[in-house]
Amino acid sequence: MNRIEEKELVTQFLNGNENAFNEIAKRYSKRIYWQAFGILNDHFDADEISQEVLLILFQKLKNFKFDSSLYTWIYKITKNRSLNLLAKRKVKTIFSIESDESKQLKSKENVVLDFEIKEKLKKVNRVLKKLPTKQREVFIMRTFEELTYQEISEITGKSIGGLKANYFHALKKITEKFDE
Amino acid sequence: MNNKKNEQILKLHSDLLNKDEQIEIREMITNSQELKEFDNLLMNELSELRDIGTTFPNEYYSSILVNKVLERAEERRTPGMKPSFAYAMIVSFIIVLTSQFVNFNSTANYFESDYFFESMDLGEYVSTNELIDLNNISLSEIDYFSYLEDNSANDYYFASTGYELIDMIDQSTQDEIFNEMINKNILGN
Repeated sequence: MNRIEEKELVTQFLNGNENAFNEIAKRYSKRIYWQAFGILNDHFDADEISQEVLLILFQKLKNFKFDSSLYTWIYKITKNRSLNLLAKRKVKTIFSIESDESKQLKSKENVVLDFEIKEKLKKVNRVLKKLPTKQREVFIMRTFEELTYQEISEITGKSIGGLKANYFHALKKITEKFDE
Repeated sequence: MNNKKNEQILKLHSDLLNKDEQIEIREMITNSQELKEFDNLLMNELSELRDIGTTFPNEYYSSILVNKVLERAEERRTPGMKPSFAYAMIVSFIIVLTSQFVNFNSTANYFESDYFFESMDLGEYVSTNELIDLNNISLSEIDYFSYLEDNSANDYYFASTGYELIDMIDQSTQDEIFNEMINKNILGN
């Protein structure tokens, strides 16, 4: 979505057009979800963050100044919220007796829908779990969102060279299992 | 597996090679079964992951999210406590507080007094029976007040009227009367 389209959509929403918000959610919810997952490595947490970020958009879109792309703004909110939750989860893990497995069994109907999807997601989980956060982030943006390095650089503020290096190392980790 | 060559393939897919290097590695892939297999494995893996990443969450997810968001936005708008409940809390608090004062001193409870319906207050009794002249109070009147105090069922009641009468006497006179009472052993000590 280019800047003009973004601005139009946001303006419509601020003027009371609820469908405009639905459209914004439709265009960005998946990206928010996977970005959150990239940091948190957990589908339930990613879902929670997606809700939070959309709620913030709903309440605070009037404060958006269009000095960057809308997704750059959304990216920053998502990253902050995810990192906050990650910090909270780390503290809880020290005291929690809940295992990862038991968490997975409490699947939310509206996120993980059926067995086939669950199996595919297991594969994604296995692959992405190997990667450190920086590599996971660029891998998700390049593979799932099919963004160019230029676009990723504009969103994240990181150098193209650094992004390429991280992507290369991500591929290296993923292909290590080919030798097994 | 040829790790150096495999790494070149990974660099190719990461866009880390210049044009000449790209041409060289593509030729090697074409001419080597091993490299071709590795490249195919990588492409299949990326394709599978891309497929999951682009189809999950599904197309209904954004609608579900929006509904949840609107619910949460509504919850935040609604005050936690309804006004009627708040008023009920305030009224309850007032009742509890008032009951504390009403029951504060059971001996001082006006309504428990045996004298409430049966007798007039001390001041009335004294003045209507013309037992004392408030401007010229004597020792006998002081003794009388003391006697009533000892025998009154209602100490608080006496305090509100009897001591008011005694307070009309100046301090030096009160001291003088008190000393005389002690000497005469009127108070029984």
